[in-house]
Amino acid sequence: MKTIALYVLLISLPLLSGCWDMREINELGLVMAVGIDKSSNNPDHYLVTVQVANPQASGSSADSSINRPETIWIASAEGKTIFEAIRELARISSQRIMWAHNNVIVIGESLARDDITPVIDFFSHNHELRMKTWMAVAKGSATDFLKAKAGMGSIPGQSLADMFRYQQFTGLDFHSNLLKVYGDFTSDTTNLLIGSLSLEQATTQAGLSKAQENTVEQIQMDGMAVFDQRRMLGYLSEDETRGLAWFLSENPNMVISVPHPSDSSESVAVEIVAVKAKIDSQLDQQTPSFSIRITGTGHIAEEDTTSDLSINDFKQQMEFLAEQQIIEEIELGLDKVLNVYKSDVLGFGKVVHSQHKQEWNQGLKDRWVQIFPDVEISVAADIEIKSSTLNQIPLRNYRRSSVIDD
Amino acid sequence: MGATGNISGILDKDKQDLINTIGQGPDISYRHLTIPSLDNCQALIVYVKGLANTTELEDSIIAPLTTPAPALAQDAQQNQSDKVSALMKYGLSIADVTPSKLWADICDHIVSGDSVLFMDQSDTALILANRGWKQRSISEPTTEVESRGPKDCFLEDIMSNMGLIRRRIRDYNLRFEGFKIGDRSKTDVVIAYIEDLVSESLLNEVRTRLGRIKTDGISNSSAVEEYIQDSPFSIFPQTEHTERPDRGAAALLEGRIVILVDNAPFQIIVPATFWSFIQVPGDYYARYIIGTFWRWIRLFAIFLTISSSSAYVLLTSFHQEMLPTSLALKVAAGRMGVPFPAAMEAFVMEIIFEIMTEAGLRMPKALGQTVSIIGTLVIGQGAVMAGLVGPALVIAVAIGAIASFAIPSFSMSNSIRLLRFPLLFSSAVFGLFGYLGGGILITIYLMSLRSFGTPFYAPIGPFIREDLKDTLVRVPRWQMITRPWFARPKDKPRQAPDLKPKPDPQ
Repeated sequence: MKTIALYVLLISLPLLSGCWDMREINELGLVMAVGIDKSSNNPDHYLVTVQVANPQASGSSADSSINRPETIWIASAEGKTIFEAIRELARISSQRIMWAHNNVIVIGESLARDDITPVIDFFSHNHELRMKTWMAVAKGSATDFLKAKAGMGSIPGQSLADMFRYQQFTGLDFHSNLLKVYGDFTSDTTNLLIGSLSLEQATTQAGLSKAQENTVEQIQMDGMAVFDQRRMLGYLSEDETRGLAWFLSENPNMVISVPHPSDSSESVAVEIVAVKAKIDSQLDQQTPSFSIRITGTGHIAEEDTTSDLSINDFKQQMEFLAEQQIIEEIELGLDKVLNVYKSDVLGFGKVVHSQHKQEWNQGLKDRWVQIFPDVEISVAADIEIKSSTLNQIPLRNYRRSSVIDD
Repeated sequence: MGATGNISGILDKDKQDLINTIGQGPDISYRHLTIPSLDNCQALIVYVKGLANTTELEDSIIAPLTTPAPALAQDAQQNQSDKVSALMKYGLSIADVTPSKLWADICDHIVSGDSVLFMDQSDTALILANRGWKQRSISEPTTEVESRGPKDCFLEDIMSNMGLIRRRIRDYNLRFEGFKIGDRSKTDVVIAYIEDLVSESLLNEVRTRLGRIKTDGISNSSAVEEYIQDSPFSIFPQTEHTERPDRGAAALLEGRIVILVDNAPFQIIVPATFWSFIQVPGDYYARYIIGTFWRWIRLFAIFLTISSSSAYVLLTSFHQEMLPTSLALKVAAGRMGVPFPAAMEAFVMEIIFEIMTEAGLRMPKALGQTVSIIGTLVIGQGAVMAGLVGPALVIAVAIGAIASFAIPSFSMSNSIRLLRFPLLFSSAVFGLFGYLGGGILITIYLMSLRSFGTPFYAPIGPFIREDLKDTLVRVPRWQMITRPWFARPKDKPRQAPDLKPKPDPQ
């Protein structure tokens, strides 16, 4: 009898506990992107906008009717804290909001200029969210960006994440995801450098006349946002970002245009691959000095002018010009960071920390914020242009003389 | 009231005793005859019509007996008393003749299909082995099909089955040891083993377990299995069975024991391990890489069978973050408007699949198409179109169903298919934790089983390094130098250690 009672109890244990934590997948609203702004009505409040995928639109191709439902559903809610605002969303959402598939966190400019801490705090606390979620600062209100078009995909949040992923092709691969941002935010020295987005007018449907053309706002990647410890200070332009990318990017393979050695009005496109950056710090004087050394291999990608130089001369001059170009680009970026923003977004503090641990711990750490803008930085580059690409005769040389006089 | 003890030697009394014992039914024939060469001695041949070979009876028994034979008459004259030995020497042209006095022995042989010759004034009867009944001829195996193996198959007749084994192993040490099981069915059960390979303790264990079966009848080899298994309540089969003589012979060569049961085309092999259920003769008939690949496919099939629907439930109901975003959206789209929770949906579809399997097996063959049409169209497509189940679930259930048929042993396949339900249940209640917990429990349980003293999960748990050569992989023949450990053969090496083909050293 006792045994039977024990078995009954054991069997009812899972039955009575119910389906703990169970939620059907079709009852979920999968967040594809989230935007956080300061509320326009009440500056203390947050405005959270979510872009939720509508699964019915991405359903089976069998029911591809003309009246496809909208692929995304956008909702906003306000609250005193971000969490409160998100709870507010439940009042208008038929689906239970789920964060695990979120791709991007877009931070409105006004919020970023005020204080970014609550955003990082909330999203790094949230157990559903992945640390690989991309983070970006919107030049404007985040809500507008969530409503805008992004890329070709049907779900803008996903397309935006893909745009971040394909930054490797421009070399500007800063990995500005929650993991990196969280790491930088909690570090002693490094300040945040988060990718920034802007809107541009884009023609999506070319019509016969201008009136028929359908123009929408489209998101584009646009430089980086520079922070001090918690506030945004300003933006880096695309060119300045490129300068930093030479030693900060995860995959700094970039294309540079170099003036042609024999005709400086013409340009030669050189693709620099296998880029390695080495940052060294010296502590001879009171302020540390740094040397950045870039090495890489160049391939001539596009050469639009004829040249009468020998291959060796051409190679030497090209290498020199490319190195100059790279140094120039880097100095442009460094200048802005050191002289305008005066914020160590470069991770130089980390370099000192690892290379001069003792001095760092004996006071340098505490003075770093004051010292940083005055550090000396020397930049050098060493590019080798592979001769195999030099041997290719520019296409222009094939032209017959009768065609040239255009 | 049946006859016991010895026969009396008085023909009329013996006949009456026999009628009292085995009756006088239409299938039992009492044939009187007179043997002219033995002073016109009255004789009686008793046989069962459906079992004895009548042609042989006529040509080799009745004809020589009823024809005057000078040699027989002369011999009988000289040894007045001993008709039996005279008959055995000169009177009968049948191979197998055994004299007997015991009623029990005689009656057993009559109902087994032999003919018995009684003679007046003789206290010994002659048992004439002329069994021969209608039986199907050796055909191709139906459940263990191999593309490149021998195409013969065990029959219902135990004598032919012993022959099939003996044809493969001509070792003098091959032994067949007979038992009669069942008080009423008196089924012949024979254990086959190779005397100098098989472990003594295993052999004694098999003898003991078979010897203790006291029942009225054995209908099939599965009945014997149930009486001799180590864990009688277990869901897993702990003895292998096969209808392929080549598989039986291979087991004997590993020092295992084959139990042949009369009237059953499936013979039992002991001991068995879990891994022997995923091995098939085809592994050894194909190249070793391919054999290994198939084994992995089968292992994967076991995994899919047991987890496809559980995985669906735990992914869609608990761990949606584990799905790639686009897959999550697709699954969600498919489930839009489905009225039941995923667990219920999966459970119902699994039950329907089991019903279809059972229906396909049980119904008349002529209706075969109906099940496939109703099954695939109505239940599969119809339910999805009507929005009653999500298409992803139908795929998950179908994958599990197909995978379950890739498990070579039908008995193991059934066990694993049944285990889906508890696992589905625990996944539906506890998500991934339930699924993993269930999987761990099943594995622990498998490791606790034994088959005739051999750990069922060997050689993985306990870990036997040398047996890995033929478990998850199938190494080339020339590397299988020793017999597997698990049957504990007396003689370990099975071949020369240097059989790898290579050019002549000169």
